[in-house]
Amino acid sequence: MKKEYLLGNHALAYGLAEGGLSASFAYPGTPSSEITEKLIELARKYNFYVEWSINEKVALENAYGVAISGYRSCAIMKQVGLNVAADPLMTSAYTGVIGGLVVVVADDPGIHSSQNEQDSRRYALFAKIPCLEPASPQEALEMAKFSFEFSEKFGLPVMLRTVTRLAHGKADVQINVTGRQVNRKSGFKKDPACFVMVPANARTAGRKLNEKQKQLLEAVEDLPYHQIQEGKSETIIVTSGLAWHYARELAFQENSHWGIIKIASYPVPEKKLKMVLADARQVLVLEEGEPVLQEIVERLSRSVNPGAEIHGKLDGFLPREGELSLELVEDAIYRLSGKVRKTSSSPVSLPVRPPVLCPGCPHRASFQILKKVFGRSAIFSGDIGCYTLGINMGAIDTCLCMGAGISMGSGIARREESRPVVAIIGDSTFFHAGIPAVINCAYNQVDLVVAILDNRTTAMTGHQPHPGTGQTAAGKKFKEINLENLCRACGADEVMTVDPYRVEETMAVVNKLKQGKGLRVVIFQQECLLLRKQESNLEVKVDTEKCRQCKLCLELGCPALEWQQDKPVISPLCAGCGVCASFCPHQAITKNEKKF
Amino acid sequence: MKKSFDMVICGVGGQGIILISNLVGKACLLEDLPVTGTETHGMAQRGGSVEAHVRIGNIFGPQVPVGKADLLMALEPLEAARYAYYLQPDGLAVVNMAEIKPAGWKTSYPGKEQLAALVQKTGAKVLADDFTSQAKKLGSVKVLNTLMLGVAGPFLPLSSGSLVEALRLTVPEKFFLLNQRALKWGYDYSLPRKEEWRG
Repeated sequence: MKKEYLLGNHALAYGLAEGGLSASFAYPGTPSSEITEKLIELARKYNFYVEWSINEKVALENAYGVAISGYRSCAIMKQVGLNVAADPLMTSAYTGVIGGLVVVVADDPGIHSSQNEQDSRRYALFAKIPCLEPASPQEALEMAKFSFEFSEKFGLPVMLRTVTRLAHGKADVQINVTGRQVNRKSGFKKDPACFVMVPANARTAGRKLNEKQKQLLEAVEDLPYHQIQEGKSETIIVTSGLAWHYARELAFQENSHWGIIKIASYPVPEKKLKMVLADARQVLVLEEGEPVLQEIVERLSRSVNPGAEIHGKLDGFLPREGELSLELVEDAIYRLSGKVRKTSSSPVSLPVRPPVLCPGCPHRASFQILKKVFGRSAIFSGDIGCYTLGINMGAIDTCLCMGAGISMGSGIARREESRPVVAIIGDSTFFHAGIPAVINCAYNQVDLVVAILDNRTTAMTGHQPHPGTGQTAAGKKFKEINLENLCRACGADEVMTVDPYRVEETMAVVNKLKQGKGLRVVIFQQECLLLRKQESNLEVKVDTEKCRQCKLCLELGCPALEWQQDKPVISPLCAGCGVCASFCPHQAITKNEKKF
Repeated sequence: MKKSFDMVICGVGGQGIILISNLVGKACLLEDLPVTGTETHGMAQRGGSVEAHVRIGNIFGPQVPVGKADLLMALEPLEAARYAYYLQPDGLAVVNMAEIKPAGWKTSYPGKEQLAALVQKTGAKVLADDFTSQAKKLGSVKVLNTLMLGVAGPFLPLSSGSLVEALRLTVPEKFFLLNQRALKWGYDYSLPRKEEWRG
């Protein structure tokens, strides 16, 4: 045993490894990516398989395949990834599994790095599978380890739900570093009645799934992760996940004697919870995400104590959106006692510092070229990745979900015939969900330009490899899947690959594509600057004599280009891409090879 | 049970804030102190405003309560002002005054005096300097993070030996000496101030 200062995600990965994981499948997504990164590190020692799959549906189906062959497996994703994997999730509960199957889902309350803040516990209830929610990195480790056993006990996939603050929270964590053998079980046994979901079999499986619910409800009563103390309290605080710590910290500060309950699973331990609810005068429910637990508490309370006041997100004691904090919880507790808290110092309003494309990012050039060529009336249908930051340059008009850039763009193009429509998608996103969309464009013949911003990596989530990079999660090299060939095979009328750093050449190519008809794909290929081993040998300078203060260079939104006393200044952040020089209409910015 | 020593580290994505959190966390393990923390990953790392919390001797959640931080370590002055509301009146702010302007032409950057006033308003003591220049003098702007940890060092409930050991366990060997120099420079810079304040 040893102690380490670990990220919640890393602790969770240790738990999966210690639990006898045989194979892990994931698509990167904040705040879940570091789990797989740690697993890649642990794979050899613990002797399991780990991969970056092309999307969450593919990941879960793979994990399911492993599990019905009798081995322990997991699929790891962020909350919106679960939408992509929802199809296999629902029916995997019907067939059940043989080896433990753990679906790790990281929710993002407060929307730190997502497009919504959906609550995955609703999916677990929807699919009728158990869900465990840890409250600390240590508990993430313990629960991950235990969840395989739990999954096998009921033959059901188990969801392990975390949130950003836990995934990216840290603590001193006790880990066991012995390394365990993969838990080999039965191997795949043919059982069509169980695994072939034709209607007759599915009806039986659905009934079995419903029958399992009763046993599940019994079993969760005795889970060691709940904290439900005996004894009567007038004021009960029912918490799930991290909220438990907030309540405890405040109780410690205030020296109070609230009954603080921690619920660690869904379904909840109804019997135990009913017992404490029976004597309560008022109940405050603290949870990250939707008022899932509050709805359950209200239902349970109706039968044992209909007069109890139940507070939480449903009645506005806490905001329904956003992430919990000690301050919000403190406010809610004050309201509980009928007091209004004096407002503490709050953040002052200062210039915001939104995330931006890095200095030298090749996407900046691609966006500027697209804007110049297609003009102000063009509609840029965007997608998800670093390049969503093109919003700052006015070069991203939409962002909905992975792959939507192309299909949404095709929908827009269908009715906005007079305006140019450009769909913008990244390389990893293209593999994830762009391919069916491109085939649909070709099949149904839409006039659309698809720009694939190929920076040779999954950049935003921390540079994971993908099929176009010729490298697997474990670092194994293989023949890369060529985007240009792929797009041709999908039926694109024209496919061109360009280097966005060569601004003039690329402008000419994109201009030609603009004049064309049908489905045209342009691949802007230039490696993410953060991956480059060699520094640029270009030196970028401003000739202040030639500058006419037109400020066109500022449209690039480059952090290395500052405006000081009516002149642009190249700051030390400059990565030497020289793109600003190509766009200066007065040749006031120059790029020259560095002299050594 | 004693109150934990709570620190908030802030700056601009890419300045190496996570490393500071890791060093403090490891030093806590070396001294057998419980520790919790939280940090920014993902989108904001692309030059956005980033914060990390570390709570030394803490057994509760990862977030530092507003108005209760013992230490604010800001690697950039605008970010110092942004996160100053975490400070408690008898806390300490260690602020690097080298500005990093937000990208694009739409935002203006407040004056240094205005930013400093926002930090001072909390009542906390302030140790502010251009630590970026000093890091450059020592060899690389990349050691700004360890240099500032050194400046905060004498005020932490951790020994300098633990911080150096944490550094040795964390950074690649070839960068250890440079980082150690930066840490020591910071320590030597602020130790006289601490004694002055105490006296």
